[in-house]
Amino acid sequence: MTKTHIISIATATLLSACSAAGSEVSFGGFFSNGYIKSSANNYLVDSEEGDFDFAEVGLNATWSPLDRTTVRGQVFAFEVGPYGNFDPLVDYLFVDYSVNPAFGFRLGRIKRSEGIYTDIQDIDVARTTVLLPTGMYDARYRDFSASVDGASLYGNFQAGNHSFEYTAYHGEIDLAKESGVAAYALGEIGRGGIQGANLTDISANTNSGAQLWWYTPLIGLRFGASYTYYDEFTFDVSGTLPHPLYGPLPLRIETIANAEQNRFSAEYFLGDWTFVSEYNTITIESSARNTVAGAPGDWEPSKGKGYSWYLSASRRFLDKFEAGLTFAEYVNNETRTSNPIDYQKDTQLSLRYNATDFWTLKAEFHMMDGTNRLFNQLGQNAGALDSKWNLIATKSTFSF
Amino acid sequence: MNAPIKSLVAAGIAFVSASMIHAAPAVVVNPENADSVDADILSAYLIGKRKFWESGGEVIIAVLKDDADANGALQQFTKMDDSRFKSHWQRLAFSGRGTMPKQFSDPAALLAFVKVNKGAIGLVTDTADLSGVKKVN
Repeated sequence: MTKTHIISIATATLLSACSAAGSEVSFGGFFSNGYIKSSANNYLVDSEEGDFDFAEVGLNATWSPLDRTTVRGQVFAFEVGPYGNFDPLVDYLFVDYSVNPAFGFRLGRIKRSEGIYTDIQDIDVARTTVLLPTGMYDARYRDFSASVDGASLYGNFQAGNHSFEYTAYHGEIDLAKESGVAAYALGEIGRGGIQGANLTDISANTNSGAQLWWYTPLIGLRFGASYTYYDEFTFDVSGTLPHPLYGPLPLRIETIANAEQNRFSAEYFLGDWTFVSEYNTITIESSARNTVAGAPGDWEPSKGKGYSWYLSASRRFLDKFEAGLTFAEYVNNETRTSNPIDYQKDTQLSLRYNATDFWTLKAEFHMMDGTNRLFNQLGQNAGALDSKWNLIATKSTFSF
Repeated sequence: MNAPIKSLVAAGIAFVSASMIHAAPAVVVNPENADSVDADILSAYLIGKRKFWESGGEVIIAVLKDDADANGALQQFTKMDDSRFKSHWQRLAFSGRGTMPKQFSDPAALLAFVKVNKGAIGLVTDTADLSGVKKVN
């Protein structure tokens, strides 16, 4: 079943249910706009100059037309520097049938469950920080990272004082040449020596995953583990290869990659305090072939493993304020950790003010070490990079 | 004890008694709702672990905002204060896993909502006029 079929079924179900039932439709939404300024380098946006191109808007609707059945959908648009461009996308649109609390399923464009923030990365009001931990949740990946076209199973059950919640999903994902994932892949492939690298094609096959949460008897404490598998990302990059005798030779690099990701999460709400930590590993197995001046070489396999983690503590005070401290580290390849291009570390101080029930203001300061998450797909970081740099981010969010 | 002192003591006792009386939480549902609700199930409804009644209808949660007694009831049944409760439901709602609870400033408006919505479950206090709804706690 293709993703088009799945979306069509979900839409048809929504429309037929609309005409058949009179149940109330609930709406919600949010709009946020931020500003990012860095002491050096361009991160996410044109941050060295200071940039307001950091915005997102979403409108969702929920409707229960039949017993145990809900239809949910959200339209979303975002802009993070050169990514997103406010092109509206169907963030999710699915039919949800709950057989009982222990078992239900969703069909359509569904949210991915992975760790604490993947399916709620847009929800500013659900966290203290403006930016989520570097490398693990990247705002530039928003167009593909949040949902898949497919199906999921979910449920929760109790075992004594322990409670468990599970989700398993499978579906297709979309990748665009202008996406953040494409930018990151281009940067990594370009490190092989290709000049004038240009991404001519990108695609992805399927994405499967499972998330399990364990709610411990200690109220407010939960642990999670997730597994994610990405099947067949393909990248086709063209450029030139310098040659001492013949000058630049045309070079094409074809890459096929599979990736698997494991994430372990802990979250603890203790009075006004919130403690959060996650550890993530990603293993990428790829096969690449270089074609120089029209002569194809052999497919060369390779394997790399990277990791990221963060630790965060935040506290509410004076009723409307929250302050947080986060340390995050991302390492692209565990065998290369000494060069700043291979990692990025972020020490982050955040302040949040809940101005009203529907309006939240945030500001934060980042001390950065490393440059791995600085993309240059569109020439944002063409010159030399500073490995030690600072950044401020602010955000204003309205939600209803 | 002379009269002025008696009056003063009586007033003091009345003041202390009044300050010790707390409104008890009342969990109410539509009178047509025949489901039985024990404490565990009630908690599961309020935190979104159960989204449908046994009869199949959608659970629609109704809460009071900026109400100290209602906040106490939330704490009792969900182990969350109103701020945490709102954040919890925003996580569910914006990720397509639940529907935001309806918020009311006035207990009478909340009770009127429960009276006309078969799937509604509301948190108020027993000082409100509960006629026309079914108290389940």
